[in-house]
Amino acid sequence: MQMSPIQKLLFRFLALSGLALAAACGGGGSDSSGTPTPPPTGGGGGSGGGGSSGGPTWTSGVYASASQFKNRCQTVRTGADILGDPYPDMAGSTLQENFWLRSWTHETYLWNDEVVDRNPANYNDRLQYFDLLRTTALTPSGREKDQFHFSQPTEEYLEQITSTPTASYGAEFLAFSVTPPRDIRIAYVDDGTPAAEEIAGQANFVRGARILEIDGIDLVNTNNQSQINSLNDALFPSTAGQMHTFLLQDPGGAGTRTVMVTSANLAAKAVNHTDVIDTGTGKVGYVHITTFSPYASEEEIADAIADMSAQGVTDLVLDLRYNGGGLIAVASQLGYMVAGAAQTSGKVFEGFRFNDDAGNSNPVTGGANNPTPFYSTGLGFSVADGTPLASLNLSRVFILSTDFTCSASEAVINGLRGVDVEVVLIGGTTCGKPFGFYPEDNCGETYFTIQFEGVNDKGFGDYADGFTPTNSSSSFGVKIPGCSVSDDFETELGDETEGMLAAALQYRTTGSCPAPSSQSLANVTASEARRVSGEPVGLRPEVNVMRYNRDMRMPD
Amino acid sequence: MKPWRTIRPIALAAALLTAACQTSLASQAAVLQSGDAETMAKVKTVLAVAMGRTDIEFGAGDPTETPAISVLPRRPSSYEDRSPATPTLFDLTLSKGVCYATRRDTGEAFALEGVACRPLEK
Repeated sequence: MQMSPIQKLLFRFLALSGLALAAACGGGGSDSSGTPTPPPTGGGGGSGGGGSSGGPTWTSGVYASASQFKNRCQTVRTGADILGDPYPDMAGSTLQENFWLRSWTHETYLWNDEVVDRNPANYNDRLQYFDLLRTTALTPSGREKDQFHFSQPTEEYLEQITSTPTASYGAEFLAFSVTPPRDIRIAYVDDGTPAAEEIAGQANFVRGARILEIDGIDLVNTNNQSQINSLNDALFPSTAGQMHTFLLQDPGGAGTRTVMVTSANLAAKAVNHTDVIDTGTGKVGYVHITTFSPYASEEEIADAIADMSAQGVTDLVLDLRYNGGGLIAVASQLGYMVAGAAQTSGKVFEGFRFNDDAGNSNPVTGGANNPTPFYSTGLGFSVADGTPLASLNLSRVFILSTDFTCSASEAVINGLRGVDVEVVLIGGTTCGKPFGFYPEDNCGETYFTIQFEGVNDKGFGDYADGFTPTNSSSSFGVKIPGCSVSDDFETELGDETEGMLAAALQYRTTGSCPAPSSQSLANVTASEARRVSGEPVGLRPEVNVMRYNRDMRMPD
Repeated sequence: MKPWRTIRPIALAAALLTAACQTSLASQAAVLQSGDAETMAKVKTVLAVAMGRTDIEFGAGDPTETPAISVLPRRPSSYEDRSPATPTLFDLTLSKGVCYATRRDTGEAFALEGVACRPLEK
């Protein structure tokens, strides 16, 4: 089965976070289909019992409250975590951890009625058991309905949520191929970062540039593990102040150039580029928003839209092609700022559909299931609570998309469509993740299981195969007006000639899509063009494919 | 290490007991007299208890000008691409000379012992 970029990221993450590759991939001839492993033991070589006598017993279809098993751990952590919060662990067993997973899944998993109820006592590996606590149903396109079921050690999770800013160059990398011949390119750079620093009028990194070597190591072809490790260390510096030498091939040029770039501690930026294009038939705003995750995204986006409002923008191109989502509330604010009060007042940006057993409650928090409105004011992330937001009051918006356009980004599309704002989609099919979760720690592992589906004001949230432009050749996905256009790595984002933006401007003027031949791929080889064009999915580039696990290893 | 990171469960429990949690107060909107580090450290200690966390971070806003304080949620990890998290807001009120922070989502009021407030000027 083909894997989406998100799937592949998660797949590698799972593999690296402790799940045996054999379990994930079926390697080594072992059975990876969920065949029971020997039952948990007390560790003394005796017969079962999960480490404590008189443990819970399994009755198919009967679920005790998850709270009964919460924090009953085989391995008890002592002291406090890196946030200073004391560990809540109590002495328990793998069996109790498995029972917690089973009951927690039953209480909170979106598709809890599609999970096969397996006896927790038959599994001595909590992660293996967790891996089975999901639906195996497929979407209409044949993708797994649940592609987002994973976990990570809690210490790693906590490090992630506390370690900002992080060392980087200020560039986003795309991987067209992580196996030789590797093809790693620059997707975009943030202004004011080492990546954007100019030497003799030439920026260090430019969009579309291909990395050929780092510190003299052949990135494209090496199979030497030590060299691969060095490449990863250079691509993803762990500290500020690391200088590395990159050999680059710029888009459109046959020659190469060498740049030396030094890492710095950089906070993630949400707004990468804004512009106002005076078309003669009105001003068109363009904003490239890369994420809704950082708290600063609230202020950055609010400022960008306020500026466009002040300039009298009458159309807007939202470039979400690399936006994997983040905070729903910030996405909601963007929805408000596009559509304005008249179209959004009293409307739902995104409601949450939990499992059928939840009723009107949120089964995770235990509170009421309150939908997210179109927030019209600051919420206190980085804009003071109650501060009115500007709005463009548009009845139409152009959204640039690829399959990296995911989750909260898709919520912008869905939320605006829910209040009858016309969304014109220019680019590729979005990733298809209308789902969300609340990470939950138990006994040192943080679990992510799908708990809700986001639905718009019309109650629609069925886009697990993504949104796709009407003229897309794809048989699946929710078709919405727009044009199927490849990502154009030869032109800087925000340039009116960049493929997707140009298509949006053309569609705005003529209502028609550009012919495929007009899409700029002139300097991309045939094989690369095939990859860029998006088929097959498995060859599509991945945003920061190695950001999290830095895995450039050859398959075993 | 930040001062509020040194708080331990016993201290938290003690603070909770002395925080004079109330749900109904005859009060008026207020702002902090000062936003200096000492004042904000005191506020942070109380609001950490209110949040059930050791570690909190304030969001945007100036509580010496507007009668509210924002406490940021835990930062989403890179895998939380559809996070419903929002800041928790506390409204500042003054009642019988005592400054309170009232959690907007629950209505619980926490006395800000040793913190000076003044009525919000309208």
